[in-house]
Amino acid sequence: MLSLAAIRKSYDSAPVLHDISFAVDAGETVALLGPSGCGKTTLLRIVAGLERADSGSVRFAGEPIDTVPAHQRGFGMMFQEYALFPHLNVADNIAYGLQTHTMSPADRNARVNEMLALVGLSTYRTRRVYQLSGGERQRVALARTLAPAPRLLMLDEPLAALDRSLRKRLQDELVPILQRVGVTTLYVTHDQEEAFALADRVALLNAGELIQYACPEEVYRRPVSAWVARFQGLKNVLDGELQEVGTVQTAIGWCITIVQEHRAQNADHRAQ
Amino acid sequence: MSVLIYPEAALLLPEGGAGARGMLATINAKQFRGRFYQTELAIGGTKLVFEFDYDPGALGATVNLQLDPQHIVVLPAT
Repeated sequence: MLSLAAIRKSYDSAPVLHDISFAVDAGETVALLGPSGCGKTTLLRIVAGLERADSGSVRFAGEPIDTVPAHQRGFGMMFQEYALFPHLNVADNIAYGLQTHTMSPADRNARVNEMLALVGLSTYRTRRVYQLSGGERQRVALARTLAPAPRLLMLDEPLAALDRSLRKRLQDELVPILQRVGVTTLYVTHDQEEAFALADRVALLNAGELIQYACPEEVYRRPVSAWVARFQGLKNVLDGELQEVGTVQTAIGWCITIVQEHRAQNADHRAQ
Repeated sequence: MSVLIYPEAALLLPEGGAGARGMLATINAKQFRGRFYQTELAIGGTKLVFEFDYDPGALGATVNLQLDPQHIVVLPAT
């Protein structure tokens, strides 16, 4: 559905993205995960058409879209700050996203109701934005982004501004919403737990490079490097030396036998 | 290369208990979080963090530590 090939980007000759390539299947949710400054938001903006890559190409549904202006891509983007209009009520905020669509007022109203039901805010249509909690604002912003039925949904740290308990609750609510809508989604986050909970696959970036692209289980169980393990909060990473074929001696004395590549299947614990 | 030992890899036995093998480790710190005791074990000068669904402190301040090989991964050099 979406494919990126050898995307490169620099700002003032400082490289920000190096040869990023991956593909996203239709209906899949992919998390762009990495520490602050790793290039994930820049990558999202390139897909959105808000930035141009220095080289490489972005294709959607088989077509190159590098020269297609952002507003003609049919993609929906939701930002961390939500950018709701304070002078409009909830229903009008959601309807705002439908302004460019040729829709009768009745169809527009039906679509707004559908989106309110989707995010569980059917009784909130006339509420003002300032009357909403952080979580409710987040759901209104999602409804507004989904209202025009975007071909690709892009979420840039949508839960980052919320406190931890609310973030966890909304994270649990987002999964069924995205599944019900079935839209292909790019989800930017620096939070590994959030990425693993929401995404079918994770694109793990560091310093502008794609380090690992795999399902959450694979990233957790088969990290491609010590950095990936540590980024996930796994602290027990020991240096080791290959002693003979299939055996690694660790610095603290454990000798670990490997029976398949990158996978320890047997260990004995000989103290030095 | 590096070796990654997952937090669930540790098997503990009381120091010198029947069938005790492996490395001697000292329980350095522990904290009950969620449903696990997150426990830092010191082995010589190295500290490793493991998770247990029981209080490892009940086994004593020093324990015999073995590792379950199913929870160890060798990472390629980068």
